[in-house]
Amino acid sequence: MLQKIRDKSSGWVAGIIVGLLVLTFALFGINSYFGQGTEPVVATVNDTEIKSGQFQRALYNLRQQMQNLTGQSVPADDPAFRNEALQRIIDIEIMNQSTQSYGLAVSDLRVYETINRLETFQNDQGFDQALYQRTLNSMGMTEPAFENQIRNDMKAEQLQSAVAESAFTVPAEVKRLARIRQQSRTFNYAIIPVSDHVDDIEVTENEIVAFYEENRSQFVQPEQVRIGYIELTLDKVAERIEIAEDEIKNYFEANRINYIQPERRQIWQAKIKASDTEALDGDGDALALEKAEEIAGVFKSDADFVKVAEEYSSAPDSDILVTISESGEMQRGVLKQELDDILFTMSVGDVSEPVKSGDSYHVLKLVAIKEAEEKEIEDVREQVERDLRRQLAGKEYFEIAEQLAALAYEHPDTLELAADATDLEIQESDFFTSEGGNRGLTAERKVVTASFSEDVLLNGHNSDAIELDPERMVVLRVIERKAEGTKPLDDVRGDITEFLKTRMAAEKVHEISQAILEKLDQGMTLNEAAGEYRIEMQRAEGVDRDDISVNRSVLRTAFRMPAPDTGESRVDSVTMGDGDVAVIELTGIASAGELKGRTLDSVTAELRQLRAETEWNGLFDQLKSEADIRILESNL
Amino acid sequence: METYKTDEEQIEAVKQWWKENGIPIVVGLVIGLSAIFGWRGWQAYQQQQAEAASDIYQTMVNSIRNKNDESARDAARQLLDNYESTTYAIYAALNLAKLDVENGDFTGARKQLEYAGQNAPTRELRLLADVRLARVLLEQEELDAALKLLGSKDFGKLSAIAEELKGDILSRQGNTDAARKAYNTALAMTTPGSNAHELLSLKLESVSAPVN
Repeated sequence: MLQKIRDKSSGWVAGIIVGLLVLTFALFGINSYFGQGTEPVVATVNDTEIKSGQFQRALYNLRQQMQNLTGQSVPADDPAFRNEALQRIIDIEIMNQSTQSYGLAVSDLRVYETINRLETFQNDQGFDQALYQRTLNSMGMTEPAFENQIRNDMKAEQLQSAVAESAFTVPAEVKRLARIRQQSRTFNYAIIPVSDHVDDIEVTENEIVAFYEENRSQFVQPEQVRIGYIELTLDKVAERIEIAEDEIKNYFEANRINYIQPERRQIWQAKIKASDTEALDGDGDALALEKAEEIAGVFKSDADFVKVAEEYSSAPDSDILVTISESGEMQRGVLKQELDDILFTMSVGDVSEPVKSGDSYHVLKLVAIKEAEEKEIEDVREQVERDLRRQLAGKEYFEIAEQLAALAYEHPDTLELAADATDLEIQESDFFTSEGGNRGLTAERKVVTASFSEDVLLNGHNSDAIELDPERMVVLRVIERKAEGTKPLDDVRGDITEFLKTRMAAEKVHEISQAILEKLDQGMTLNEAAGEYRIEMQRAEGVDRDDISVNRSVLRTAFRMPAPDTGESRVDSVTMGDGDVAVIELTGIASAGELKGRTLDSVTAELRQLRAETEWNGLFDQLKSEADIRILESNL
Repeated sequence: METYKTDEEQIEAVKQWWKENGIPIVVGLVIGLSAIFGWRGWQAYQQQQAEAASDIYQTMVNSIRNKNDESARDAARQLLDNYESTTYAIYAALNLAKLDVENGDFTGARKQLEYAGQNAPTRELRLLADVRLARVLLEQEELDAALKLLGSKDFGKLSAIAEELKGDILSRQGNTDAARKAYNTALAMTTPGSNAHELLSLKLESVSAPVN
């Protein structure tokens, strides 16, 4: 056998064949060393390539997310979005490479534990292996790939938490910030109002025309329509029904129970809660309960309500918040269930124990009971008739609605047949745009959409029957259209004049403020300089950052100005939203005295959080800046 | 190429060849294989160490989140003692420093941060440890030392934090112009509208005010 093979396999032909075989085996699988096939690479991070498919998946996921968030779809070629998607992949790749070079690790066991806890894969009994596999299949993922992704996520979390959890702030920093926040400032200011100058300004016709011509696009009047419509409401139907006096009486007798004035109870109610659950070292709840018990004691004594309310109602910034109120007509079902149950088992004069409801304690005192009252038909006749009419109208409403819808559909070119048959009027609206009218029917979104739909607007047909609510329906057609155009100058002359006057007045005000600043520079005081323009100067003495007596913009600016040197002052100006300008002269800064422990705690927490964020961002940016990132725009 | 008359002759030749070359081949194979398995074993050991450290690290983070300082410290000590060569040991030092700061033990915190600053395996971690160290020095009123540390190197993308600290130190020293300059540098590197930006502006506005 071997002999035979040897005999046949000598010679150069055999040599070539063997040679080819050797080459085939040697190079088999070599393509895996040169990247898979021809899928384009969109970016490289150090030596790792990011493939087009990976990018498309990330882009798809991001668009889905945005759509879920905003309810609007994002075009696939939006460049900002494509860039965001790519940056996300790059960030993840950098995280993965960093955890690799840091030598972070997560064992298989921990990966499985994490997967087992994921809610997506849980059924009633816990982790569901079949569900797990099905879900992965539907995502087009293999188990090892998914496990690897989870592992990478866990490592990335470690990378981040190591920085964020260990972040801290020091007391020196905290005290400084608390002092800055609590400091107060003293300053003078003069506000130069635009309104003082508007009337002095003359606007010429030429200026108005020039503005109109230059800003035509601002004066576009979009297409408008006017509609004719038939509106059907349950109340309209109810009015038309004829009923005999007997029927009203019978209805009342049959439904007496609905016309009873229910029992009402006069009560005092105290609501007590801690300002926040973390307050007072977690003792807030216990202290609130203590307070509630104290108030229950006071309720029991025959104190006067006004006095009790005055004495115990707390200031809004207290640690324990107390609200005391009185109600003369408390019916069943108004309070929360747990309070209701107690109130309606109490006798007159009783005071309840403190009851926890939501995050507050409640104390109730029952002062008096007004018994339920039966009514006679004379007392409630109108209401009975209304109820009866509405009840009888229900069936008829649906019959008419159906008829209306059918006729409007069968005769799409007119509403008159439908109106005659249903004995309803055709009403007409004013003009409105596709933005809708301000009120009434044309403010209803469904009506506007129908009016501007192709079938109604362009084909001139009746709309479908539109149900605005269960008791109100409308069909409509367009009866007049006004094409898009520019509003005539006469319609907008008033607005333009007003606008130009205000703009010029604002310029004037700005000039005055500059002049005042110049005078201050030359050594005049604000009082003198402002006086020259008959503007009254105001003074803010030792106000803090949240002061409400000083205009918000003025206050902000005064606190933004650099501190003056001792005995000096600093000046600045600020233009406010309506064009008014304030000139400010800052004369002094005072630091806060005692710092409250609670303030320090909250500033500490806030600063720690801020450090965690900025330090992590800084560290990650550093990692990113050290990576060699290349983006191949042409393959994106 | 030699040719053989029969199969027997050929077998004989193979035996002869083995006698001459057998030992070196076997020795070579043994050395090669043990190198491969040895390397694999070393890698497996490293992986196992890292995974064990990772578990302890997770315990430490959970303890900190649950405010169980004692257990967090235990875990951190274990990492520093038994897994010194892993990055997790550095993470342990960073977290111990934080616990120390919260307990008012600034000398302890300083030791941990100095350790992390010198032993962290990567530059960014060393920079992080250094800015935190400077913050502790500020608390300890060692302003010159803190300033020197911050001026000693390029803090890369952590420069905004370093510059802010410089501003804090300089304004504490009464060097208002330099402090303003440092805050402005930090502001230029911070996203407008962010909380960090707001804090920096607040500090800048208050420089030289009698609030220290």
